[in-house]
Amino acid sequence: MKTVKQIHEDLVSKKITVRQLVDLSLETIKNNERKFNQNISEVEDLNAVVDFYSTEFINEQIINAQKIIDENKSDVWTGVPILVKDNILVAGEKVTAGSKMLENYVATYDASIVEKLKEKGVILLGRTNMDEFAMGSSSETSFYGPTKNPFDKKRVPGGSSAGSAASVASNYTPLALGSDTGGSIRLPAAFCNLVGFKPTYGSVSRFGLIAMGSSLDQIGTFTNNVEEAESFFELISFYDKKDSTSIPKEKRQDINLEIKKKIGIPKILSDEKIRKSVDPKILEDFELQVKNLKTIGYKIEEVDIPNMDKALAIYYIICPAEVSSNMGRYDGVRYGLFSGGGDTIKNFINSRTEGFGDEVRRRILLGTYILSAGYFDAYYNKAVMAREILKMEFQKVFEEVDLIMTPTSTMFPWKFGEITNPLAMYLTDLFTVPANIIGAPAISIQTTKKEDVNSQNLPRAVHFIGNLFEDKKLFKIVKDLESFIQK
Amino acid sequence: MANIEFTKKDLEDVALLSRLSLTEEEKEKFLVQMKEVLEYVGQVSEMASGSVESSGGEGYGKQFKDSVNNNIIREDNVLNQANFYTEALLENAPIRNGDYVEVAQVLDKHKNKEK
Repeated sequence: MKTVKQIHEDLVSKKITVRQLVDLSLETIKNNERKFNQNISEVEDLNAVVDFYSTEFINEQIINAQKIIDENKSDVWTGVPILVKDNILVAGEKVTAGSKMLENYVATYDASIVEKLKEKGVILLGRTNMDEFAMGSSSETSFYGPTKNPFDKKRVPGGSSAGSAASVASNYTPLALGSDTGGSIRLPAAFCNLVGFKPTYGSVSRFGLIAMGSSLDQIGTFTNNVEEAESFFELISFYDKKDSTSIPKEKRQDINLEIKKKIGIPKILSDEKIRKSVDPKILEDFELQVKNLKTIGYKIEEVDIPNMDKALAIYYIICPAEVSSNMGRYDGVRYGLFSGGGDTIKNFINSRTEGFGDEVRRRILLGTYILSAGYFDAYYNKAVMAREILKMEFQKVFEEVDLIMTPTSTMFPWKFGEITNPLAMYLTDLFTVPANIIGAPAISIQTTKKEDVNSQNLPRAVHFIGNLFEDKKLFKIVKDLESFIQK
Repeated sequence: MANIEFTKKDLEDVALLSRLSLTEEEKEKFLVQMKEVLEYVGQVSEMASGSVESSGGEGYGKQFKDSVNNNIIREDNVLNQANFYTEALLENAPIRNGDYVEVAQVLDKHKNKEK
């Protein structure tokens, strides 16, 4: 697979046209997806792409991008096809969030980042499969059935941005958009041998992203390498007045690029109980990455973030609380699934019961309970306070070290149906959730070369958390490690 | 908060508030699963017993304090042309009647007469 830089050079030097490039992507997708090609067996089907955008829209984009290139105004992503998680709005196109509730919903406006990408001539090809409303870690909660792991089709690709991960890993497109509320980009990136990046909260507009947990949600990317994650982030990171949590330009801290060359490993990683919950082979690979970083001149220090292991408990209070509120809008009246037969309240209940799957309903119920009178103080208020404590604990540590390093997941990609207990599934996000709780940028990178990954040698990954607004520093250090690993 | 009292009655109350209906089988399943989650999240009470100043004060998270914890308001002006979104929005309505969204009857004529 060519890098985006090489693709860009080919486009600019007219070795290839935008249309040829798009056709190549469409062909690759059609060769792997049963939905578009009946010759693909159910076993072989990847089920990563829900649907293409309309032909008219794709054609319009191709013409626009080619024009930008012909006028020598292109930037590196102009004319490059990408796929979009099915919870980001493109005006006039369907968007379903992997749910029966929105099966026939057509977006009425563009997400702010979509507007930007259209302007730059990045080609949006279609929508990728995901856990319903981004709630899940395996894609098994999708209304459209699960996406498979491209390296072993008996295993999950990670979730919730499953289709985006599987698409990039299968060379459909060099990049796909995802969203990350508790690890929904970084986990599937780790499971599909990719770079998964979740930017600082507030740096990328959420306007036009179907909300799950609004104080945690962040749009990010899947790419083959860190450099492409970085250059795309520069494109989509801007102040947006339509998102009230977007950070105004003047308040975006001057990026601190002064590198101490110190990486912190949280103390909880030497805790016996925590270590037992992580696959020994993952810990082994983690030690190897520690060694690699030392080899390239980084100091590794143990750092104390006393309540880091509580982040997941904080998350499963704040997230369901926000979910129960965000899901309130699905009433079967203005849009979405309608199931009638009774009065207003009965229709409301029927529509929601039919439209939502188990995991979504479970989180709505949990959130409603947590926010109800009598329990609000015991749960929600406590979690909000605990969140502040955790932010301060991280703040202290970032005075000493550049980044914090952990494994991405506690487990390797598991087999479909292997984890049925919701809490057990939640626990696999132990290391990814803290970044969402504090709003920090975080990245997962693959530690095995793609050609060495297969069903016997599953993808491995390592995870870094940076300080707020130090996304650039995060990229810089992680690129050092990446080039050492890929050498 | 180790032993959570989350009863079937609690679940049924919450389901009604959530505008969801559950079968008996689902109630049994959700009750066990949710109790397990509630017990797990109960551990936050261990760390947040005192009062904590919100969002990091002067240093860390100042950007958040300014732009997340403050209301962002704009002038109350119509920004798009009249009727620009009307058709697209109505097209998404499950039951449409001309330029209206149709819903089940809310007011009952007969009941009002009786009163």
